Amino acid sequence: MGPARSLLHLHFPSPTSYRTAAALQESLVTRFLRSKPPSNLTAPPPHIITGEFTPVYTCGRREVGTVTPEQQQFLKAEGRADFAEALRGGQTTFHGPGQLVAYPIIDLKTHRLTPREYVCVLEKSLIATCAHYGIKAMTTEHTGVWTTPDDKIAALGVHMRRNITSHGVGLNVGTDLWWFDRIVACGLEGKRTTSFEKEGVSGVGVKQVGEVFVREVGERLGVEVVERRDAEEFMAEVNIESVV
Amino acid sequence: MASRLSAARAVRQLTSSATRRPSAFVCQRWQQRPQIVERRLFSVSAAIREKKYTEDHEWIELSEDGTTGTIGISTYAAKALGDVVYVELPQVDMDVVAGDTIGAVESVKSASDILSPISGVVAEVNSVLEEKPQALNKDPEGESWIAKVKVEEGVQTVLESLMDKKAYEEFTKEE
Repeated sequence: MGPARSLLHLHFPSPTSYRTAAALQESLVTRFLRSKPPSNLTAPPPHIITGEFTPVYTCGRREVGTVTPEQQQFLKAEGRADFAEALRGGQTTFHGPGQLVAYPIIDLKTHRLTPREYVCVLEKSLIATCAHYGIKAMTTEHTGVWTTPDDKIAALGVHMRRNITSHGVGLNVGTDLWWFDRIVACGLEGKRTTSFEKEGVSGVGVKQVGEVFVREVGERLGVEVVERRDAEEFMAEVNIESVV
Repeated sequence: MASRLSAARAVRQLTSSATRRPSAFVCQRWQQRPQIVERRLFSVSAAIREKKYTEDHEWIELSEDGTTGTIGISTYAAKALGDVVYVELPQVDMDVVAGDTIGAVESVKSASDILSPISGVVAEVNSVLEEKPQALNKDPEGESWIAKVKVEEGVQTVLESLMDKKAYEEFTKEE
C-alpha cells in the first residue's frame, strides 16, 4: 500500500483541555491499531489534531510517577494550570493559549519512515512554518526548534506504538512565556523560550499557523489533499466525550 | 501412537489458551492447517529455540529448557531509533498477554512501546539498561536484552507465526 493521498486535519476552534485532545488522540490511535494485520479493516488516513490547550504542564514518560505532589502543587499555580502525565518522549513542558499544539496520528510504516526520520519531518515542518512568517529557525544539538542556540520556539515529544505516532509538537505563537520561566523546560538549564510575538511577529492566529504547519507536514508525507474538520464536531460524531 | 498423543496434547494446549483468551486467529489456523502438529513432532527443539522476530522489531529466544523467553529489540530497530536515552522496563512478576506493553525505549524525544510477543509472567528484567540506556545501541540482540518471560503453554504456536532471521531481514529490506 502506498502513502495515503489525503490527510484529515482536525482543529479545535477554541482552547481545549489537554485531556480532551488526549481522548481524541487515543481513539484515533486505537482505530489505527485495530486495522493492523491480521485484521482486514481499512487503515485510516493520516490525521493531525491541532489546537490550543488551557494551561497545562505535562511530564514525559521517564518522569511518570516522579513529579512529587508538592511539585505538582507548584506547577498548578493556585489552580490556574493543570498537570498531566504523558507517555511521550521528552521531559516536562507547558502548553497553553497562544501555543499551537499539533498531534499527527500516522502509521510510520505506511510512509516508510523510521522514528528518527519522523522526528526530522516534524522539525523541518516547524522550521518551514516559522520561515513562512519570516522567522529564521533551526535545529541544534538539542531537540526542538530554536531561533538562537539559547532560544527555543518549538518543543517536540512523540510516542509510537506499533509504528503509530501520537503526541507531537508545541509551537509558541503568542504564548505567555511566564509559564516557562517557572520550569526548566525539557530539562535544559540556562535556555529560554521564545515565541512568534517575541520574535516580532504579532497578529497571527494559532489556527492560521496550524494550517501552514499541517500543509508542511502533509507535503513531506506525500499527501495531496488536506480535509479540514472541526475537532469538537468530529468528537461528537464519533461519541468521544470531552474532558474538562 | 506417539503422534496421536502429541496431537492430542497440542489440541489441549490450543483449547486451553483459547478458553482463557479467545483468539479467532489461533483457532482458524488450527482448523485450516492440522499438519502443523505433525511437523512439530520432528522439529521441537531446533525450530522452536531459534530466535524469532516480530513485525514490530522485537526478538524472542527460548531458553534451553524451553521455559523462558528472552525478549529484546532488533539491531535494525536500535539503529532506526538512534541514541537511546531512557529504557522503561516491566515489573518482575507482572502477568503479560501477547501484545501487551512490557516497556519503552526513548530516543530523540520519541518513546516507542516494546510489546511482548508472548504471554506469561515477567521473570527477570535487564536492570543495567536503567542505569546505562545507551548500552541498548551497542548490543541490542545480545547483552542488552529487555526482559525474560516465563512462558505458558501454547508458546510454540506463537513462535511458529513469527519470522526467523532470514524472513525478518527480508521484511526490513521492504520497509
